[in-house]
Amino acid sequence: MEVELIAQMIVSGLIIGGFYSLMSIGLSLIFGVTKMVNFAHGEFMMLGMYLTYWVWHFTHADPYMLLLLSMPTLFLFGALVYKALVDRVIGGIDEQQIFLTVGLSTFLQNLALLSWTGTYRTVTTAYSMAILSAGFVTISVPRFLAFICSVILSVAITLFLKFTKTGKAMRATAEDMEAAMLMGIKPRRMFLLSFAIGSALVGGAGTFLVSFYYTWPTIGSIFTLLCFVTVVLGGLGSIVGCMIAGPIIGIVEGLGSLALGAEMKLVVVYAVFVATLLFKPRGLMGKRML
Amino acid sequence: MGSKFKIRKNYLYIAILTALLAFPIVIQDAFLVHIATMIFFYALLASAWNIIGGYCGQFSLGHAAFFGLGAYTSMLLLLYNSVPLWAGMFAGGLVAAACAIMIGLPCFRLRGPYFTLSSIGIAESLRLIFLKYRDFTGGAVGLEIPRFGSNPMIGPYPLPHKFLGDPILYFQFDSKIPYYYFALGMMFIMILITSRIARSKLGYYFLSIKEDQDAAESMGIPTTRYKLISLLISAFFTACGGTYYAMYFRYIDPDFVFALSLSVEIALVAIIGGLGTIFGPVLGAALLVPASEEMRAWLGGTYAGAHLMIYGLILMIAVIIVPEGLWPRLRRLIRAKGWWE
Repeated sequence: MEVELIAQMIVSGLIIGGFYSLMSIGLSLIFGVTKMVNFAHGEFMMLGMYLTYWVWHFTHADPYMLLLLSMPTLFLFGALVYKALVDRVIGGIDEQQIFLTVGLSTFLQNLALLSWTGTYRTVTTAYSMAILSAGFVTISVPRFLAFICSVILSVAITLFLKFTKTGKAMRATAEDMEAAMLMGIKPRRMFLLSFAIGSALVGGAGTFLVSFYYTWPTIGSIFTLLCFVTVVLGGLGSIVGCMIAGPIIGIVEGLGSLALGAEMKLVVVYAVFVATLLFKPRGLMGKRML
Repeated sequence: MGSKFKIRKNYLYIAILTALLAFPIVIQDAFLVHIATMIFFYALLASAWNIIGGYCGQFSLGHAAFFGLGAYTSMLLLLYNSVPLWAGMFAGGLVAAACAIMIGLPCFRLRGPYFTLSSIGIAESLRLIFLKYRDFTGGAVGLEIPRFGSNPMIGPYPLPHKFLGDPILYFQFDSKIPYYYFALGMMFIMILITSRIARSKLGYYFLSIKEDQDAAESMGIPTTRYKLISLLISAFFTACGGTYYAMYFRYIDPDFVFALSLSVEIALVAIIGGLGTIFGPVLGAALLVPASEEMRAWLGGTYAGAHLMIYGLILMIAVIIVPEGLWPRLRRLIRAKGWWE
């Protein structure tokens, strides 16, 4: 019984961990290229969740189809946020960069509260309650779909960064901005692109999440914290690091909630964060993006 | 205009202090006294934050952790051991300082956003822990100070010890005026300490870490140790603010005292006022507290979240337009006009 429960937690953790990877990749990409932490990252996901919810609410379209809507919208939103706000403080002093996104996060949270009230909302589909079972381990279908799609998107972004010219330019900017400029790369364009792509990815993550979880205005702050831990464990700015760290965080979270109770899982995750800072501050994969 | 408007600094200080001391006696309006008290309270918190954020350049978004530890330590000491809150304040400060070491040691060796991230994490963890172990901490219900003196005790609160004290010893009054003077005194002490630090070697070490950590290290300054000292001072006084909150409002709960929004609010006051200045946080509090009380009164009832939304907007605009804060701007203006000697 005990062993079965632990096995179940590990499998569930792995599945949700794939989703955490996707959620964090955007944050890591933005940090890697622009060297600033987007404290409003979770709020971008919250917007993706609400967008999916409302379109589903009125059209009853399948949430996975709505990915085609939420990702481009968040891409544009990220670009807009960069152009309107972030561009003014990039290369400025640290406190500007931190508190600009903190302000944005407070603003978006309360804008959501004002517009859509604090009600918990979720998307229900025909397969919402469906379950796959393999032996004594069961997996919820929407979570499994989210896992598969997260892996596909993560691989896609990796291939984009690895093989396309734009992707290479982004990596070059992340590695050495001045050298990249000498090669004729416009860093601000890369910053804009990283913000837009990062937002699109986390918006897509929001679409997956709302199909098996609730959304409410301050949901972002919980997931921002989870993203920080994942990104630091993987190595700030590393994409592959995120892909490895996500499942680890998922499993630790599962086992932690088994040992201490579900409400303490964030505390356990935070303990992983402190342990990372103490023993492996550069993270599992260091600073290299891929 | 010119020299007519020149004021001697010391006279100005004495005039301001006299005005502040006379304020609650002359102005009998309880609401205005409350607003003034809140200004001192936020000025205290923001000044404490300023020691680590403004002078040392390490941005914490988890000062609610220290605030909450201060509030809970003194409150639990009161409820379990009948220790008066003003005495429990020091215990709270020490507990917060211990917590500061736990955050600082892993983070301050590193550069980058680790400290900021970590501070958010610890405040959030403490909130969850205090919510979970409700047998000891009261959980989400919160803790309330039982009243005595002319006030009957409210609510059947189970107390392990009988309260033997009198209202004066336990600092419980019906009037808001004693709380006003207590907050004023705390803010005054904080300003004195800040100005002492700013003019001492310690302050210059802090500034050197903020300006250029490499240069500071090559001058032989042990940067990790000084960041830690700065955080210790900051945490101690933030915790004192937490105890003051418990004393004044007589009720605390984890969702307020450990909230991320509180941490952001503290930082916001300091940033709007001016980082790394002595009077910046005071100016920030004097502007933001009345504004926020007004906004809450106007918008809070009908539009939940509206006043925090405006807060977020103010923060974004402020860091773009006046990143150095309002106090340095104001000081430059006054000097340029020649109103100040």
